[in-house]
Amino acid sequence: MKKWWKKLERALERISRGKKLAVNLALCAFLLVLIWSRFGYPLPTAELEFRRMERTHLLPASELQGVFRRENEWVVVGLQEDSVLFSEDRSLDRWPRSVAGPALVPIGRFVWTELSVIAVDVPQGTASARLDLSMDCWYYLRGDGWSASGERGGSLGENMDDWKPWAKDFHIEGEPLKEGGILFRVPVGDRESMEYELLRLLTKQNTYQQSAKQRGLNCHMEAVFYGQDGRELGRTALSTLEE
Amino acid sequence: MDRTSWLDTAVSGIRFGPDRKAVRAELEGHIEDKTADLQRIFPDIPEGEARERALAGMGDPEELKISLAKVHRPWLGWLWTASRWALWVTLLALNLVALGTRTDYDNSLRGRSGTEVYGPVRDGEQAKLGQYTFRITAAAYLDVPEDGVQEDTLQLVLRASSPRFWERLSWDGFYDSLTAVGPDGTRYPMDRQDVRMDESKGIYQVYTGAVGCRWGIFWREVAVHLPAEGWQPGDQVTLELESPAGRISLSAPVTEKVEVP
Repeated sequence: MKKWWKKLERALERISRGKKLAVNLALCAFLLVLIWSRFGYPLPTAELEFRRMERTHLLPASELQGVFRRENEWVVVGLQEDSVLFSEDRSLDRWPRSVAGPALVPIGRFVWTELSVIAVDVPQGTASARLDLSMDCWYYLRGDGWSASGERGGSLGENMDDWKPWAKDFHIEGEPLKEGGILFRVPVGDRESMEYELLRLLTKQNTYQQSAKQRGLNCHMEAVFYGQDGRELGRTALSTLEE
Repeated sequence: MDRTSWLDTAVSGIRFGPDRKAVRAELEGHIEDKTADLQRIFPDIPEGEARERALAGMGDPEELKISLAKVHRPWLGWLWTASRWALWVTLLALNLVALGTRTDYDNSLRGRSGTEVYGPVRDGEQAKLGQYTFRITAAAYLDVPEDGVQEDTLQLVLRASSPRFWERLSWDGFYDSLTAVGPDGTRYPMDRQDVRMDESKGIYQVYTGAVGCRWGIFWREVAVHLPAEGWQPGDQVTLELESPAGRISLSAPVTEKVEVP
């Protein structure tokens, strides 16, 4: 080992200072790449991360609709030809895109303090917007918790007298995003409450595809878009299936 | 002027410390050599006088100072010192990061999952989609034990490489866009799996579907499984990748039969 080290020292003495500098810088660059790799090659902005996810999923570049922060994570939302693509917590999700007109996309891989709903493809000239969200369900208390359903009796249609109704409405003003979308932030109260669990269901696509007895709640949300002069420019809705 | 003052003056124009030290030592060596030479040539000369003459022979220290300052630019020395520090700091940072983080599927440079790969294919056809080059790197008939749970399958391994090592194809990118077409033309989308399992025997087999199997700095591979019923040696299996970014198709003959334990 000592012989090898002496050989290396003698070889290094013969190298010019400029070459030594170049070797040191190259080694530094290599080590920095190793450190970068250890963290999963993070990129400086959420938009760059989103674009990278598009490429690594073999998707074309989206038309951006929003970049915003929720629950200490950056969310980027873009439009593909047939879907709305959004990134959250370094993963990519999709939501169906409306055939014509705006669409509402609930976002919340993790819901701690708020549920986000973004309106995309909004009418041109939209200066403000309002979201009306109505939720209702039937629930009953069990010994170890509670169950909820969009229909009294749930999927089994049992213990009908034990089921009680629950309902809540939200009226949220929208935040226009510079990329074109409108963001609505629905506040979450007590994380131990039934309301919190029900709000989380709004971000699951199957909530809007299942029948009332299969899903946990009924929901109807409608966004109205206004121009600078306060005139209504359009509206869009997202609802659970009506029986 | 005594020797110390002469040396201090001669090297004072060299701003980079290590160079100044090294040149001072060299000049001192020269003075010693000259002194020794004088004493050898004139054995009767006192040592003090030999030193003075040697010093006088070295020239004007102010003129030497200007010459040495022109030759020894400090910026390269400072850069080299900074690069040594940077190297040590980076090495320390890497060690701290390595201790503080875990490698996983996504951030490890090289690795393999538990899926074994059989029947290597050399120089298979390639196709490009987006920034990725795709190639079939293995193809084999897997002859599994007859345990009532598992069934024989065809296995093909598809590699996606890119020079952008920070953008290896995502596993979902493979599964969502990949379809295997069997020798009889049956299509098997790889965005779902058909798994044969017996927990009591510890058996878990992907009968149809794709599984990430190996990865390197610039590439990732998935092993694609499809039913082997009716297979004849040399039968062609095709892998199709279809995405909004484009469409490619690669085929390989399955000629090798491997007994899997």
